[in-house]
Amino acid sequence: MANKSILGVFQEVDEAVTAADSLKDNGIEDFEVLTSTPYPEGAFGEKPSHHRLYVFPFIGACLGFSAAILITAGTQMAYPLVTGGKPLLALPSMFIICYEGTMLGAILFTIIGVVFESRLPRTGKLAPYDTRITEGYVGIGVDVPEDDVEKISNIFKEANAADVHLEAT
Amino acid sequence: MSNSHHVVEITVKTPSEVNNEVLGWSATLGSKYRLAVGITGLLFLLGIVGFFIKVQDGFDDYVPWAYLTAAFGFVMLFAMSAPMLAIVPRLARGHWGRPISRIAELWALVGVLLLIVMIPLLLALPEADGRNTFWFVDKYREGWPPGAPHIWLALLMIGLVVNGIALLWAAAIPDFAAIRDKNIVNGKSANLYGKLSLGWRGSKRQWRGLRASHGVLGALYFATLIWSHTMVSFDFSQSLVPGMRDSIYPTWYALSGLQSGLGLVLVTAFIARRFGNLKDYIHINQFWSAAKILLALSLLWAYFWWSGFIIYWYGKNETEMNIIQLFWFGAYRPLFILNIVLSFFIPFIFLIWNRIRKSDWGPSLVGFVVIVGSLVNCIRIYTASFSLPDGAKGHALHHVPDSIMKPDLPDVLMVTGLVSGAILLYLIAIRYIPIISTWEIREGMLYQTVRNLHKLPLKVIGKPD
Repeated sequence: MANKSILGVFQEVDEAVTAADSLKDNGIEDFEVLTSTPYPEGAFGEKPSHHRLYVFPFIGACLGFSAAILITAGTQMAYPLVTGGKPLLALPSMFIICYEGTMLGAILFTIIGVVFESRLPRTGKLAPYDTRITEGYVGIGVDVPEDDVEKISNIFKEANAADVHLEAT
Repeated sequence: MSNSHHVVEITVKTPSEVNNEVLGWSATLGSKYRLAVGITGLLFLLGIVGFFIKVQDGFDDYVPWAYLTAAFGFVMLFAMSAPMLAIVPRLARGHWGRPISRIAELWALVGVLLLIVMIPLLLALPEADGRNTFWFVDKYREGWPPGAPHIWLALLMIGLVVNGIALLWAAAIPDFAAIRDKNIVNGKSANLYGKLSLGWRGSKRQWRGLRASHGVLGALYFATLIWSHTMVSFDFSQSLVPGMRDSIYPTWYALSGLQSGLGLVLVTAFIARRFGNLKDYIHINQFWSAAKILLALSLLWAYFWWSGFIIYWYGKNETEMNIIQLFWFGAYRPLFILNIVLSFFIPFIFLIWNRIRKSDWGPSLVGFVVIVGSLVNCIRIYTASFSLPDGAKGHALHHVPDSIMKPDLPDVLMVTGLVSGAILLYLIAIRYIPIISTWEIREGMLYQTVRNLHKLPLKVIGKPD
C-alpha cells in the first residue's frame, strides 16, 4: 500500500510536542519537524540523526590537492628539464598552488554538500507544507500508509492543530 | 528591565513580529537611503571616469596604478575581513553576534567588485620572475611556476569571493524562504526568492546542514582570507621593494584587515541601529562585546608592527636603513604617524574605558577611526612600494624617494570611486537581503530570558551545546 505524507501545523510549540508524544505512543517514531528556527536536537523528542557534511570538504580538499599535484608535478615531469643542477620539482612553489587547489576544492564541495545534505532543491513529489511555518508555527510531518491517515489526522487535531495538510494526489 | 547600575536588553517579540519588522524593513528605507545611493553612485561613476583617464597611461608601467592598488588593498582589507565577525561568534557559540552577523557577512558581496578591479591591477603588476616573491619563481626550477603571480593570485581571490558569497547565501536561505512565504514580493522577485531558497521547509535535516555549513565554510573562509591578505601584501607591496624580507609584514597586514573589518561592522551596526530604527534588535551588548575584540586587535596591531620594525632597526645594513626611511622615517613619516595614531593610540586610549566600550557611539567612533587609519596605512605602504621605479627587479634598496607619491585627479577619483562603489553595492544589497538574520534572532529568543536576582535583573542564557 502506498504511503501518504501528512502534516500537522501547530501555532504553539507545546501543542507540537504533545502531537509528537502522541505519535510515539502510537508507535510512530519517524516524523519530521518543520520550524522557523533551529531547535536543539531532541527538543520535540524526535530521533537524533546525523549529517555527513564534513565528508564533503574532505573529499573536495583531496580532489583539489590531487588536481593541483597533477597540474604542478605532472607538467614538470612531462618536460624534465634539469637546469643548473636544480631539482626537477619546484616543491615550495608547488606547495602554494596545492594549498590554493585544496582550499578551492574544499569550498566548492562544501557548497555542494550544503545543498545535498539539506536535500535541496526540492524536486519531484512535494511534501505538504504551510507558509505559516516561517511565521513561527511548527509543522509535524509523517509518512504513513493510506489506511492510517485518518488516525494520524485525529492525533493532530486532538493536539489542537491549526491545520492538517495531506499530500496532494 | 533596568536599574541605576545596568540595563539588561533582550529581544522579546513573536516570530511573526520579527518577520514583519525585519523583512519589511527595506520598504521603510526613505529619502536618506536614496540620497546615500545617489551620492555613492555618482562618486562610483566618477571613479570609472578616473579609471578611463588613467588607462591612457597603459599597463606597461605599474607606478601609475599605485593609488588604485592602495584603494583595492583598503577595500579588500575592510570588506573581505568583515564577515569574520559573523563567523567567529557562530563558531564560538557567542550569542551576542546574532544581530550583527548579517551586517558583517553582507560585506562579502563587495568581493565581486574587487575581482573586477583586480583585472587592471594584475595587468600592470610585473611578473614574479626576477623578484623576491612567495612564488619562488626560477628558484627551484627554471620558469616555474608559470603565470605567477597573476593566475594564482586571481585563483586565490576567486576562491575567497566564492566562499564569502556561499557563506552569505547559506545563512540567508531561511530568510529567503520567509520572504517567499510572506508574499511581500511578487512577479520575478518572488520567483527569484523561491529559487534562492531552493524549496526550504525548515526541517531538522535542513537546519543541521545549514549549521554545519557555517562551521565548515567559516573555517575555510578564515584560512583563505588570511592567505589572500598575505599574498596581496606580498605581490603588490613587499616584493616591489628590493631587498625587503619581512616575515611579519604579511601577518601584520592581515591583522590590519581583521581590525578594520571589525571597525566597519561596528560603524555599519551603529548606522543601522541609530538611523535604521533597529534598536530593538541591535543592542549595546553587541558594541560592548565587539569593542573588547577591537581593543585586543589594536594592541596586537602595535605589537606586530613593533616586532617587524625592530628587526630593521637592529639590522641596520644599507637596505634595512633605507626601508626604515621609505616606510617610516622618510617622506612618509607624517602618514606613518597618522597611521599609528589612528590604528593604535586612539583605539587604545578610548577603548580601555568600560564606559566608552559600553555604548554604541564609542566603539563605532573608534571603528571609524580605525578604518581611516587603514586607508592611510594602505596609501602609505602601497604608494611607497610603487614609488621605486624598476624596484621590482633589484636586490638591494640603494635609493629612497625624497617625497611621497602625490595623487593626481584620476587617482583621487578612483580611490573615492572604489570606496563608494563598495558602499553602493552594500546599500543595494540591503534592499534585497534582510540586514538582520531573522532566524538567528528567533533562535536567540529561545535561549534568552531575564530573571531577577533579588532586585537585580540578570540576563540568563541557555546553552544547548
